[in-house]
Order: sequence, then structure tokens, then C-alpha cells
Amino acid sequence: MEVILLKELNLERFWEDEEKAHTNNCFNDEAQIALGIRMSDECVFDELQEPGTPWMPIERERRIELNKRYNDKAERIVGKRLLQENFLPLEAQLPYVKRIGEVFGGQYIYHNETEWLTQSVHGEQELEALLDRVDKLDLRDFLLPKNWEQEKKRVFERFGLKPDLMRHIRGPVTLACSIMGAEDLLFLILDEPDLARRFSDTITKVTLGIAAIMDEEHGTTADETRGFSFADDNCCLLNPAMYELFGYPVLRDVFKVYSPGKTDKRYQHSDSAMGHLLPILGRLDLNGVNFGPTVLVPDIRKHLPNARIDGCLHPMDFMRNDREQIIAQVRRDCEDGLKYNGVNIATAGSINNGSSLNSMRLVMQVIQNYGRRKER
Amino acid sequence: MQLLSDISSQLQIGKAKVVQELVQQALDQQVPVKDILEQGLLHGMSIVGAKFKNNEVFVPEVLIAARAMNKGMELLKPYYEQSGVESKGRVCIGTVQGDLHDIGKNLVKMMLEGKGFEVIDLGTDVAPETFVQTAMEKDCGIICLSALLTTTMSAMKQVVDAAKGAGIREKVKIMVGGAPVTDEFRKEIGADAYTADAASAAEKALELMESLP
Repeated sequence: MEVILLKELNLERFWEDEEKAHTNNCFNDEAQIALGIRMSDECVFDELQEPGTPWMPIERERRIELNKRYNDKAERIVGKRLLQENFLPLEAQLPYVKRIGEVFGGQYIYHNETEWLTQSVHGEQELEALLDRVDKLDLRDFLLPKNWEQEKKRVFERFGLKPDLMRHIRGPVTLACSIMGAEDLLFLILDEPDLARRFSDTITKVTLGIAAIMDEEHGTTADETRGFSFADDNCCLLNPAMYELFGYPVLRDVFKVYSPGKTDKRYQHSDSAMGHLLPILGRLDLNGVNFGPTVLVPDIRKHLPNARIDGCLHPMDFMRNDREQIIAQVRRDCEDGLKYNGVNIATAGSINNGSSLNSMRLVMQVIQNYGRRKER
Repeated sequence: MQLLSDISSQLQIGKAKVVQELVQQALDQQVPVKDILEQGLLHGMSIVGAKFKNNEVFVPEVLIAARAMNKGMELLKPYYEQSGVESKGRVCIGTVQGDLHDIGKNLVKMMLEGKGFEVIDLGTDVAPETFVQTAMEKDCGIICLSALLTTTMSAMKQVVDAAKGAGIREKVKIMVGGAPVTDEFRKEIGADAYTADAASAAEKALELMESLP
């Protein structure tokens, strides 16, 4: 086994350089490759050895207390407070606005302390009936609760807060897999391409519809406030021809409305082995991506010259705090970053509970050792 | 034989109806059932599995090939007993308790069937005792466990423990897989095999089945 000796981490210098490393969407010739890791709320449990479940909502006071204690530790280990400590009181929250899965008949449920979107149709006939229903749906009436107007007014008057925009959504393939089951979706696209096209078109219409309603509620427009992002882990299940038919048109049409300018956010997260779709995604000229750990910088860059690449450290190796793997993978990504530019060192997928602050520090140390440009 | 080679090649491109017709044709021509199965259907599926492993084809191609294989097998099954066709062994498979993901598990199931195993699919969110009970009742040589969540992979150890508790650990092999699972984790929980992809899982299952007493 190769013994790797790393120079000690100079924390102060790291954060000075880190700030500049993000300029121009990480495409720059600043001193050091950017770091995208800021850990996540779920990491508090393992790090602080506290009981609790990472994916369930928890009481505000407990959240603040855990995050503060975590940040105290983070300050000692990585030199920065990472997690949010200010959370709005319960009274500042607006009532629940329904989500896209519910428009398509699914329900968001908690099962084993994890949120799932349930399946709502079985087979093509049920899907057709569902799409008929969705076509006739008064989206605004369906999404917003009855007391919406009065609550919106109350929250704005008391806290000065407007409703959130909806500019990030579960992507078309992942949504459709939940709504009708992965295998049925694949067979649908193969056997009934016209119905699959209709399903895809409806997803586009609903996505744009929800976004427009929330724009209006917030008091903005697609022109004024730009950018959109998708989380579509399951896109890897489709082959290129099927993605071209079902997934791509949704992203293309939504970006056309919300991200017409070169620098308007066009982001896709799908932490899976979806490298075979890169040539198609390339046509969307995405400017930010977070793909799975098998999809690496040189391949992504071939098809997406303007994308900030958030990756490509395997999130499970990071979660296992596997020192050897972390060093090897971050070093690889640093070297690719120096060569291809636009790399933001992060996990290729979500950060999980168990990923330690010491591992984050190790990532920083590797960046300082291998991710620096020659001094100017 | 051309007909068997046609069955294999039509299966590889997922032509279920054509495969069905060709299998019927082979039966009508008195081609031995074992040959239709092994040199036609399973041969085609093993090529698809190898291509999937090498990223030459993707999930949909495996899915339609498996569908074509199943259509062909439907016609052959009534003749298995009289033709002396035996499965490579019986496997029960499921996604562990708490986890509702199924596509990975389904892919492994397809690959196992493509190797000639009889597979009992227990679905998702399966309790440890259900795996063990099924293995005992149906005389399964292998239990295959799938998990996609970091929070549910620990349920795999519960299955290993339940198998020990029921006194069948020596008689049954336990295989694990899924995105968060590694070979190191497999060792930690005392399972027998881990593979990173569905095609390798089927190959490993063959090995394990042969090693059973």
C-alpha cells in the first residue's frame, strides 16, 4: 500500500483561497480548486454521538441546539461554522403547498423514517385516466390550501416573508418511476411511445404550472428571477433513445422558460451511473451538475464544457471515512480540476450521516496538497 | 442449430412475440426442451447479462430481454419434468425491511433467472424472519438481500442473525448488494458474498450453489 504523506493543512490560508475559488462558477485561475462540501444537518447525529434519525423532521429547538454544538466542533476541526443556526419560528411557516407527486395522484409518506412518494397508477389504462384528470385539474386550487391567502398575508405582515419559489423539482424519470413503478415506466416508453410522450408533456406542463403559480405568489416572473434545477437519480434507468423521448424534453422546455440566458442556472443532480446520457444532457448546456461517482470529470467535460462539476468523491467512501479512498479520489478530482477547470470538490451524491468533520478536513488537506495552481 | 441461435438473438433484442413463436416452432420440431432452454433462452440472456456488465446495454435492454425469456419459458415449463430439466437451484430474494427500492433487486432476479435459477421474489420491505422462513419452507440454497439506503443496510445483519438463530446458516448462502453495500460490510455482518452489479451476482450465485453441501 502506498503511504501518502500530506503537508499539514493551513486552515487560515485554505479559507482565504476557498472564497476566491468559487468565482465565475469555479471557472477561474485562482490559487486553489473549490470545495463544495459543507456537510449537512443529518451529520450531527453520528458526529455528536446523539440519538436521532437523519431524515425525519425534528423540533426546532433541538435542531438549533444540535447544529450549534456541531458548529462548535466544526470550528475546531475545519475552522468554520457550517450548519444553519437560525431557524424561523413555527408561526413564520406557511401552510403546506402540495407537490408535483400529489398532482399525479401519489402521496408523500414516511416509511421507516424516510420520505417516499407512493405509486398511484398500475398499467397504461390507469395512466391515461390519471393524465385526463391532471389535464382538467385547476392546479392553483389543488396546490394551495384553503387558508392560503390569509396565512400569506399574516406571515408577510408579521415576518416580512413571501412564499418560496419552486425552482427545484424531482426530475421527470424519478417522478414517473414513483408514480407508475420503474419497470412499468420502461415498458410504457418501449411499448406505448405516444402515451409516454403524453406523460412527459404533462410533467412539463405541471412543472411549469407549479413554478408559475409560486412565482406569482412570491411576486416575481420567470424573466425577473431565473434558474431551475432537477434531481433525477433514476434517469440512469433509461437508455439514450428513451431519455430523448421522455426525460430530455421536460428539461429542455423548462430551461427554455426559466434559464434562457447562458449564466441562468441549469442544474441537474442525479447521483447514479448515468454517463450514457451525457451526450443528450450536453445539448442542454447545463452549467451545474452533480452526478454519480462513476461519472468523472473528463467524461462530463467532453459534453458539458460550461458545467461546474460538483463531485466526484464517492459519498459512501466519505461516509465510511475511508482515508485512503478519500485521498485518492480527491487527488484525482483536483488533478482533473487543474486540467479541465470548473471543478467543485464535493461528494457525487448526498452527504450521509456518518461522514465526519475529520474527513472534511482531510478533503481540505488534499485540496491544499494537490489542488493548487502554481503561485503567481 | 439455427433455430436455437435465432431464439437467442431475438431474445437479445427483446422480441418477445418472435421468441415465443420460435420456441413453439422448436417444440413442434421436437427439439429437446433442455436445448431450447439452455442453447436458446439462457444463452441469449447470458449474452445480455455480459453486455450489461460491460455497459454495452442498459437496464431497458435487460428488461425486455427478460420479458422475452419469460415468454419463452412459459411455453417450456409444462415440459420441464418429463424432459428432465432441472433448475440450477432455488433462491429467495428481497429488499430488506424498511426499504422500498426494487429495481436493483428486480435486475438481480432477472439475471438469476437467466442463469437457470428458480427465484422466489419476496418483494420489498421484507422482514428478516420472512427471508429465513421462506428459505426453510422452499428449500432455498441462497438468500439474496438488497438495500439502497444507509439506514436500512443494517437490516441485512438481522437476516444473517435470523438464519443463525433458525439453525440454517450452514445450509444457506447469503448474498448482499445495493449502492451503500461493500465487501467490507459483507464481511462485518457475516454474509457470504457481495457483488457490485446484477450480472456478477448471478455468476456468483452459480458458484455458491455449487459449493453447497
